[in-house]
Amino acid sequence: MTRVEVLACGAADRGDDGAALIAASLLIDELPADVQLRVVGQLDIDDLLELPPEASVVIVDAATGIRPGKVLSVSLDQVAGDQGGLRPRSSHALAFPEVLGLAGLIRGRPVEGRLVVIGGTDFTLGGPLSRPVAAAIPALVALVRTSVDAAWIARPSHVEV
Amino acid sequence: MHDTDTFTDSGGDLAVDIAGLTRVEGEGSLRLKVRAGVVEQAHLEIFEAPRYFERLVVGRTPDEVIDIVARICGICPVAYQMTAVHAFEHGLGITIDPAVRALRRLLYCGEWIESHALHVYLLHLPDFLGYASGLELAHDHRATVEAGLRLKKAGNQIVELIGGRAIHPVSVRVGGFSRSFRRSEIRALREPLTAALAIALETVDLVAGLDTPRFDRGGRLVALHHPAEYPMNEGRIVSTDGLDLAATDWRTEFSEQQVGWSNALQARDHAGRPYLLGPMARITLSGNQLHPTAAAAFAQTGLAAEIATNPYRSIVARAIELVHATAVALDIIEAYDPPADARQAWTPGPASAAWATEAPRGLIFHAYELDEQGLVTHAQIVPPTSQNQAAIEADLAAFAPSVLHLPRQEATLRIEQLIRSYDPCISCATHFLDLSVEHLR
Amino acid sequence: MEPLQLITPGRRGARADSPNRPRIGIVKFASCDGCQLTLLDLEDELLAIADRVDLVEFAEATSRRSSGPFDVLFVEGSISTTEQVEEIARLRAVSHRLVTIGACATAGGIQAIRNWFELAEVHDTVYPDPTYVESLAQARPVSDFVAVDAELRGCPISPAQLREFLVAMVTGRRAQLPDEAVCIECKRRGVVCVAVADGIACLGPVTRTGCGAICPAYGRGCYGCFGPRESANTASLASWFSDSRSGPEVARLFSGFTAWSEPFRATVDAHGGPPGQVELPEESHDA
Repeated sequence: MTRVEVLACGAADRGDDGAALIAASLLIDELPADVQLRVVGQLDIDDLLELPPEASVVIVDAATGIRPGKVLSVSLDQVAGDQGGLRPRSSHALAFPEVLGLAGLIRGRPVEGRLVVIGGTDFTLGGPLSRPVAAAIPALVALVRTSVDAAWIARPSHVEV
Repeated sequence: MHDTDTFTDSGGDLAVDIAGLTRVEGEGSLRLKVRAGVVEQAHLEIFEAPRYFERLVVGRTPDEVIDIVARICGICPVAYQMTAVHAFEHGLGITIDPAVRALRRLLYCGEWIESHALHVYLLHLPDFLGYASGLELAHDHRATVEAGLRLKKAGNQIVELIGGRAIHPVSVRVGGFSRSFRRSEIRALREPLTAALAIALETVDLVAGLDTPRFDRGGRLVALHHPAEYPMNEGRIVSTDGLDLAATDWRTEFSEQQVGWSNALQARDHAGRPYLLGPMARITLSGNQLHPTAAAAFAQTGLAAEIATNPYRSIVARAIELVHATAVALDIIEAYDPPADARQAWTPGPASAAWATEAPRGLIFHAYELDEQGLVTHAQIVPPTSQNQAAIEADLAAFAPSVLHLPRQEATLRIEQLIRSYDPCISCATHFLDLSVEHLR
Repeated sequence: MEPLQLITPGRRGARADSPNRPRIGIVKFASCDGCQLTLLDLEDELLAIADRVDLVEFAEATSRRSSGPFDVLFVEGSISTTEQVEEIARLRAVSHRLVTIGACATAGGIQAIRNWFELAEVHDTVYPDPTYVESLAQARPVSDFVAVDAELRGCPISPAQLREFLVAMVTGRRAQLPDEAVCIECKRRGVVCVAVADGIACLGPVTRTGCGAICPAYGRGCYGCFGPRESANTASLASWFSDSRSGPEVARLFSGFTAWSEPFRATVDAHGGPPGQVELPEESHDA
């Protein structure tokens, strides 16, 4: 029974776009068995529709619009209402709030969980992580970990006391 | 709790941090500083927040002290209660009924059995067989672990009957026990203990045959010695280099110092040397007083010389003591006659009280001063682990260079395994000093 | 891409655990370990319990470590240092449910007696250089710092209550942990009332049972290991004691392993404080 899904978004070969994947790879061994990790390129609505109904999700992604290397975590219900600030890297994609909102409508219940982002600046194909992002990977890992923990303990448990 | 295990290598100096030692009671960490292959410092850190027991017993009656000092250690509360009660009786000139003495020895046997079985099966044996815990060992060797648990349970059954409960007994009182025990109640212990003796003998075979690292420590061993029995409730303090001292005179040979990196005090002899207590020391110094069944099992192992010097072989020493304690318990049960009075009447009053007994982990020393009302004004409580700490560190400093070249996990495991060989009871080793208050301006 | 060298804080082996078994942790603060040991003392059930749950953190019994998350975290021990305050807050944040076990965690324990003493007095006299040791002035129960979902009382906890709690936990029902006076248990067991028959001072009427009334069964008065029961009338019991005892002696009777819990604490205060208080000379203290 999956309690939390971690969706690591990005592309390993596009500079800062690989930050979420690196963070996920560093955490994989310590995640409880009922936390699923999936790597997706660009988050799209089908990824959210595949979530088990009881599970919550932690989406990890690089984003522009915030200082490179800054990490932050927001609850998804805040993101759903947010019209400004976070812009996806691709101009072809739906914005996060729209993806979340649409997925919630289709599945009949809002998508619960958290979004963890790291500000990125250099998404060159074939390029390395930019310096501020590389320096911030430990902070990103820590923030994903605490976000997963918070999402996990908020889910129905195997036991109640 | 600490999460980081690191071997960091910075220019020829190796700092090894084993944070959060597991399978040791309480919490502890080890810091080694190595330079050019030589260990310059080995600091065994005790993170137990101070609980101030020597201060807590000030102003208390002897019977209250017996209740309180049990709470120094969940695994060996009887050791603290026995040492305290004998100290008070000695200081107050109270002579106890021989049947009470027998019951106390039986109670102590129960604790030795419980503590040693716990250590051998759940804390130490997993190391030798490559498991992270006794519980994981049980996945592959369920019958073995179940047998160990039955042995442990037999020890607990003794303590539950005589003490009222397995942890923090309620019945030990100055002058005797708070209630009497019928022969039939004591005899009811025969069955589980007979089964336990068989398991204890199997345990000796099991652990004597284990693949065991070699490590020879040269240091001094110290234990109690009694002319007529293997040491438990009483004896004189002896050592491998000729010490022979009344137990009440512990302070003439040893003293405690606070060390900078922990809350615990370390005991050393007055020459500043470390010394080691526990099953290795007892068997080496009093092996010829083991119960015949245990002596035979000991002889069969052929490991007397190794037990004297190799801490890893302490698991064999504990197994032999399991046989001993179980066999002695059965003898006491056979011979038991209830005392005329479960508890002697006594009058509170001033006294200087001191005593030492042999806890499962080694010699434990208490000293108390009682005032005119018979209340404690001063207490000194010296657990075995705080006495062993200096020796453990010295041994680690000698041992570590031999494993640091190994892959990190392996080296870590080897060092942890060595530390666990001493059965350190870290929640015991928090401590206090003299109570005179001086306010400096 | 260059793999980054990072040290991952130790949550070793998490992927090996089973998704169908609850993640259980057992941690301790300042305590004797007796309450954790009670779990290992369930010799007949221990392996069965270990099969049904995933013990990811239990330093006394396994080298397996985890810093979370936990379905249920059992916490033993009182909070006595600033590091412990931070640690319990961190643990609460990664625990679905947090259960305190034992008098230290639920009531502060015997070490809470020092809450009545001046910290400076205790420290300076005990350790030669106080900078070596840092402590809060007090030993406090866990519930002073974080929300607690359930508690098992006792010093130590009762094996029977622990067994009941664990069974209830894995079978999905609420544990039966009645809040009755020890007297009820004496009546049930047919133990003669030591207070009435022998004039022994006994805290049974104001103490929650759970131990099975061991002390009266063993010929002594209850000394309050399980702490005050709901609406314990300690004033009335204290006044009965006062008929034949001085104020300090009455305070002494309540100055045990759960003395810091109300209303035991108020009773101790009302009768002059616990034994062992030292008269300090008149002077000004810094901080």
